Amino acid sequence: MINGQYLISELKNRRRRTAVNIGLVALVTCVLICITLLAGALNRAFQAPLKDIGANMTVQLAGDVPEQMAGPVLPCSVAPISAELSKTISSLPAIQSISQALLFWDFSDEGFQIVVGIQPDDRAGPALLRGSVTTGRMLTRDDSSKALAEVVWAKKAGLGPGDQVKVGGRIFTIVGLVDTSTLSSIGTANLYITLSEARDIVATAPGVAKIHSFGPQDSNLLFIQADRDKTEDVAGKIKQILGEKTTVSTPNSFKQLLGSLFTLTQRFSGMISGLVFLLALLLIMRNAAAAVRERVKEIGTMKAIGWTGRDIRSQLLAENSLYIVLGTLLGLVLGGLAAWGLSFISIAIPIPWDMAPTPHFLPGGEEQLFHEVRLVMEPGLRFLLLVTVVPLFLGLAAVWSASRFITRLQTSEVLRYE
Amino acid sequence: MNENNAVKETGRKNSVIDVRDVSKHFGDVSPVRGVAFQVLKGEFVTLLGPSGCGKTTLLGLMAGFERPSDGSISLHGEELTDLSEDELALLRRRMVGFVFQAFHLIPTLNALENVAFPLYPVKMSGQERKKRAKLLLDKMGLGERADHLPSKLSGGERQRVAIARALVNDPEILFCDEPTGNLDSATGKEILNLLTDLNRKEGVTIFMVTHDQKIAELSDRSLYMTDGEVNES
Repeated sequence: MINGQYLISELKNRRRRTAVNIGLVALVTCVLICITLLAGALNRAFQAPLKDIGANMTVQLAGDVPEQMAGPVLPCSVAPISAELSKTISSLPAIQSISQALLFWDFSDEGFQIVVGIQPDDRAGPALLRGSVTTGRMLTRDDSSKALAEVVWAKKAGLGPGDQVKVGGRIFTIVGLVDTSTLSSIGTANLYITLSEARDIVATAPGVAKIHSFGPQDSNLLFIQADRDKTEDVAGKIKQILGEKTTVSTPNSFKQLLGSLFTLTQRFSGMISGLVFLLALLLIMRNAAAAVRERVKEIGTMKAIGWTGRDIRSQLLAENSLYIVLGTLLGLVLGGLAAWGLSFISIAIPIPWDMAPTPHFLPGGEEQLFHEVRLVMEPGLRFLLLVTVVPLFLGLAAVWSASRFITRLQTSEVLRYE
Repeated sequence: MNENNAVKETGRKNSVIDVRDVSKHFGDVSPVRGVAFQVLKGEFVTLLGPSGCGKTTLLGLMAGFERPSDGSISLHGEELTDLSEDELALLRRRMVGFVFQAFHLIPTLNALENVAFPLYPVKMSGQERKKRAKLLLDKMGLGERADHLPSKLSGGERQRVAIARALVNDPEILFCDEPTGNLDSATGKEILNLLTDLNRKEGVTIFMVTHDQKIAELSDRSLYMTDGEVNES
């Protein structure tokens, strides 16, 4: 039977022990919250560049450099992917959806522009720009000779909805402006037209025909949504289908782009955090056991005046449960505050040159592009169970085993115990 | 059965404590050797002897704090050797009070709570527990000090709290281990008066370990212990 009055007296009158016990549990909980939330936030951050475009993989194929920068040409990082190979890829298991796009550079006497052909109804890829249209409207599948312009580029060129632009020598009317600043640079362009019209332009472009054989249903960018835990496996299979020159971008490849130093640091910090966590748990257990041992004489008195082993164990378990519950609550508050502070940190994920749409020979083209991602802390139910149950379970196990050992001794041994 | 054995058997029937050929060995050391005696209901018995002669060990054996190596002990007919640790604790809760030389009060509980402490694991209302503890504390003359922690009490007051705690479960037997050993002579005398009153007026059987001959003079009977053996005066 647990006595509440005794419980409260112990908590109130042994202030140092109470503070140490509660503080330790709070520290462990706080460390655990920070480690787990930070690891989760970093992993989500690496998915961000692709998640922004509704996919978790992009596929492109490297090809030859255009012989001449005139008319529509395909950058060397996005050679054509045949319709047949796209179909083979889409039939791979673990692939949920696939979206095609066609990116090309268009050089003319009036200047240079990056153009992407999109399927406006797609659920992934640049079609997701429909949510970022600032003026006018999004393209539709039935649009003909219509274009969507990137807002900053359009402003610089003095263009707006209703104005006309030339792409591959054809006239297109701008139907809307789109803001791509919140997206990563993958698949972004100055102008967006329908995929079918882009295919027509590229298929008939002499600059393309000189080095590529481009079929009427081909594309050069694939945006793939695959099962999250199978992306690396799928990436390997795609490379087998398309050959060595394939670039498959996955959250893991972005992580690797941050360099081996980052990966090492992350691993090392993971080890340190794990060690800190283990040490803290050991401290909780040691402290819980010490809380029992320091009261051996008191336990002897309890036995001498008629408390059974079960009475004593229940009382000690209740007392330590209270320490751990209070410590966990405090730890949750402190951990929550720490996680809030950490959520202000942003990391810059480099975008590979072959995914950047601007040619390196143009001003700004050689600059390394970064995608800024703010760390988002997302605690889940499983996580909350972990931070509350692990210290409680280990602490109580330590108390139970220490108190069981002591209550099984003869009363005289306990009274003599030093 | 001869006359001597018959007398022994009658005594055994009336006894509340029956110690039969009890020995205790710790390796080669035997602080208690072949001890046998009985204590009758309502008796005040003192166990005298020099320091280190085995008095406290024998008292521990009688209270079920430890088990004899040989022989047996029964309290009110219940064989201690047959009982588990928990059963021994329950037996103490039911019929035994214990007063330690060093008081052994719980430092985080006040005087009233310390007195009520043996009743904490008993199914009983908080009010009833408090009432019984208060009554005993008043009887010990400590009604005014009920909410004081042990650290705020004098030695004599602490021992009176310890006695009240030993009595809170209405024990039939009170074991006392040098209850005045840590007190000055005036306070010690007060405590002894309290204990003799308990014995005379309320019929509580008292078995007290002491090395003070003067205390022995207040008791009904004294046992002498030397080198682990007990002789009656």
